[in-house]
Amino acid sequence: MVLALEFNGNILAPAIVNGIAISSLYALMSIALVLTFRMSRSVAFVHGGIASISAYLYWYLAATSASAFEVLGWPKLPSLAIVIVFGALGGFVFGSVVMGRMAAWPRVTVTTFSLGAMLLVAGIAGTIWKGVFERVPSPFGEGTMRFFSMNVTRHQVVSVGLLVVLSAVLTLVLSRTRLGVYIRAIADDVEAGQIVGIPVRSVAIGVWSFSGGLAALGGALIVPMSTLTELAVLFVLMRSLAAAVLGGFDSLPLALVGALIFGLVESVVGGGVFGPVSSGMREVVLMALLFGGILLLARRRGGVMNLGGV
Amino acid sequence: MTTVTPTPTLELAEGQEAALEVFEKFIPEQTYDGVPLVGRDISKAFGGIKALREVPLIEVPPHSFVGLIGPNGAGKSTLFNVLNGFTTPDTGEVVLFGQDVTRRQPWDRAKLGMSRTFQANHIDLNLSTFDNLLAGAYQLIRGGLFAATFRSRGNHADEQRARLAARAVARLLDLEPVLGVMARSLDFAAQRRIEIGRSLMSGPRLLLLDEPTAGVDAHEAKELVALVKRMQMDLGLAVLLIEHYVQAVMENSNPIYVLDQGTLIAAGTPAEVANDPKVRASYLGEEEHHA
Amino acid sequence: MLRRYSSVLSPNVPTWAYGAFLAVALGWVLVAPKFWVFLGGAACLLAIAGLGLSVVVGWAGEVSLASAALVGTSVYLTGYIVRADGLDLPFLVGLGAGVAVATVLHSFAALATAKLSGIYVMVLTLGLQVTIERTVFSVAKLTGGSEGVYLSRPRLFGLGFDSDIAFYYLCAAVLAVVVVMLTLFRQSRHGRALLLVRTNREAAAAVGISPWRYKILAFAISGALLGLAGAMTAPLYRSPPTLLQYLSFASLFLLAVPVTAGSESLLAVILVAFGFTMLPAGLEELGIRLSPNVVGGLGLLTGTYIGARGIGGAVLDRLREKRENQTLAQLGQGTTVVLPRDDAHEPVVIDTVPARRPRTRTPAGAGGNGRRSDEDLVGVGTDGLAPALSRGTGLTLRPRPPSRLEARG
Repeated sequence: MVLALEFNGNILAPAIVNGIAISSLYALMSIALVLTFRMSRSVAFVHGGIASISAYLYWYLAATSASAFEVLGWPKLPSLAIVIVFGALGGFVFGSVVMGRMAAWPRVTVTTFSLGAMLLVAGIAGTIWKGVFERVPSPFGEGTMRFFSMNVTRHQVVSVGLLVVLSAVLTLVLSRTRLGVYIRAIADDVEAGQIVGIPVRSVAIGVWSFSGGLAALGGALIVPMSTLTELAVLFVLMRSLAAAVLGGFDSLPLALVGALIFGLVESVVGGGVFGPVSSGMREVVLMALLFGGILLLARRRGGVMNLGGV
Repeated sequence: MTTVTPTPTLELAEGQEAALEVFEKFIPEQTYDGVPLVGRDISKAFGGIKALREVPLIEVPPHSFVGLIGPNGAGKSTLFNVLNGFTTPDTGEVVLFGQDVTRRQPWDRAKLGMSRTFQANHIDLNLSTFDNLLAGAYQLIRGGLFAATFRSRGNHADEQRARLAARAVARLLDLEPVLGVMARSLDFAAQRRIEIGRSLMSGPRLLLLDEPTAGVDAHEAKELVALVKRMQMDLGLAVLLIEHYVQAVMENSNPIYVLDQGTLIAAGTPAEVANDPKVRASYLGEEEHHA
Repeated sequence: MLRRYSSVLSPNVPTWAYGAFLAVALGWVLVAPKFWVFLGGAACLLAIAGLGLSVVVGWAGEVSLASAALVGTSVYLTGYIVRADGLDLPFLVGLGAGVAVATVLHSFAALATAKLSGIYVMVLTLGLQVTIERTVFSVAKLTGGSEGVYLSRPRLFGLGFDSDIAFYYLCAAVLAVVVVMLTLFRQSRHGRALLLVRTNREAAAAVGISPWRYKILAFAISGALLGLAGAMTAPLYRSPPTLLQYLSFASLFLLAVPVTAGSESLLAVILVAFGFTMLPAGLEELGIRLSPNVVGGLGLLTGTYIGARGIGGAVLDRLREKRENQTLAQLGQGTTVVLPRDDAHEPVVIDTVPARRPRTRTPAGAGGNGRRSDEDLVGVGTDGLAPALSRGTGLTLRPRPPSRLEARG
């Protein structure tokens, strides 16, 4: 594996654009992960399952023709809406279970439960729609636009736009509204929140539902950008998780930055800007980034022993 | 003037004498040169908060029972963490049995003979009392990975001795009847004694106790401190004790150190400390008496 | 000499039960159809992998999501080393290589556990899994690519293991050795240290245990067992299994084995492994297809929902409760309790030491020798008897005779 660093300038710009678009999807998922982490201090792998089954569901609802399957061919935007609701419902159910019986359990147990949910949901999706391997048209229509003398697809633009809008709304909610104060209080200290009278359970379940919807949206939006397999979605989850980790699971802005970095590196390195690079090499680079990020985090936490933990 | 009422100490029942002998044979000799523990000029700040401000001297003389008291937030736990190795101080040094251990890890200090209990009970609730106690004997049993797994002669002999010692400690701490019971079924005070017992099983020459009576009712607290005092005297340990139960400290310790807001405001015998106006002001909020 | 290993057998299980279990475990293959014997071998190997993972998950309390990648790496590496068109070396060389590589890779992941908590370890091991997928698994030479490559069953110590029955016995024997060694480890001071690290790192550090060292050890042992399982899978299938078996979801499936079974009992892990292997096959005969993801997912969900200790833990808890209630009830009545049979392996020496006569009191101040006497410490006079504080434990309060330190002088 030779790391030949030839620079192909003319594919840099499209690679950057593509990177930004991809990272907006990673960012969507990582927002979902960070929000639910703040609620229950566990990593919501279940969102990977929700995204997976949402991707399949969206395809099933909206695709007009498929090789080996009966698809419904419904209009795209309503299908997207249905899928988002479905995801929110999934988040609601899962959140109720986690904040109920499992509220006081060790973090790792809850996270493992989440892993199980993801596995089961992905398994069900894979069983119902076995062997599906299709492309789906974007809900925002085909077509490209000119943007600073580059071609960008509508799908990419809307994806990024959605992310920007969502982030703005979220920031506003978290900092200006009472709900936002509740969320931040719960994220800080659940018991204190309960004592003060915050309806912890309702708020937390609400956040879970919202995150479920986000994960569903992310899953459905990936579909037009690449081929659909249950593994592809897990792949996105990996990236989003890494982005959330870089933000220390605490900070939304840092997670967004992390998502941007991952998306850009993946797109630029993988797209051949530095010359042909095997996908293995790309993976190693991203892994090194992740490892480095975690080490930095450990340094920041400091201390001889990690008395606090995440 | 305040008087200090002595606490009666406990005498050993018959079987416990035997247990004490067995246990003493198991742990290392309590002989050493020099002072067990000296902490000098220790400061520690967390972010903007100064938890410890130049605590000039904390000293635990040989075979002594030293108390560390102070109101909440005084920095006692932070000081403990520095002495024990869970926190590195910003300035100052910690000298353990003549060796500078300021930057050494807690487990390295344990090898030199320091052990410690915690405010919360950190015992494994899914193990029996016996298994919990036995876990403490880690550094007194020989054998690397292969020797221990395949039960070499030295390892096997040490394991047998450790098992006997665990039962001896249980008898000394009144845990013998519940040796086989899972820790989760026992009450808080019993779990506390398991924690102390486990620390003893590591064969310390210096024992740091972090609020051993926290969460225990007054009657049991008195007994617990008396129990610890007895073990200390029987085994010849040096003990440093943080306590909120001031009476117990006054009746059993010498010297006593008093911390308040990160500074050492008093140090000395119980009588000296009890009559120190600064101590009374910070602790009791009393106005000064005129003797 | 062998007596010191007698603790491997549980005192609560009668010896005939062990014999019966052994008979069934070895005998069923003689009457079962060939396909099921093959599955039996696969189940034994899944059990070995599950046991390896349970060291990390059950005993060390960390979740590793890299297990399938490690098994897969070992499968392909061993296969390549042993194959005629590969390196064509003896099976044991391939086995050693597979075990070594998996051990090193997994220990590498453990480096992260020094300061960071479980969730970061999960993410890091997931990253390791994906990285291995994209690097090692894309080397066609190792995985056999699209051509069929063939690996014959090994010849060890002069014996051939070509038949499925013979290979099953080999796998079962290796599994038995693994179980014995893990039990011995668990009962040794290192096993206890590992569990204490899991309970609380600080408490472990306070008694001289380095938490980081033991976490790395757990990952190393786990890696070795995963590598062992993989190395023996290569000749089981004879040709390298498809990649799909070792991708990320497969790591979750493997994780489900120790999580469902719990960390208390090794036997539970073996039973779950057999269940996960045989049950889907059995259901398929009835026309029901269960994807491994569904099986694994259900296993993880039940295992965690029941409690932090899995199904095996829940079962053992019930059994233990019965015994304990007896003990605790007897305590309430004030009778002395006989210690449970767990300790029956050692003689109870304490009780046979003759009782000592009560010490004579010496006057205060006699404990000179340059050290403080009781009086200075406690300020007590030698007069009054303090009120007795006996609570049925035989302890009464009296002014104390000189301590043994003073007596030693």
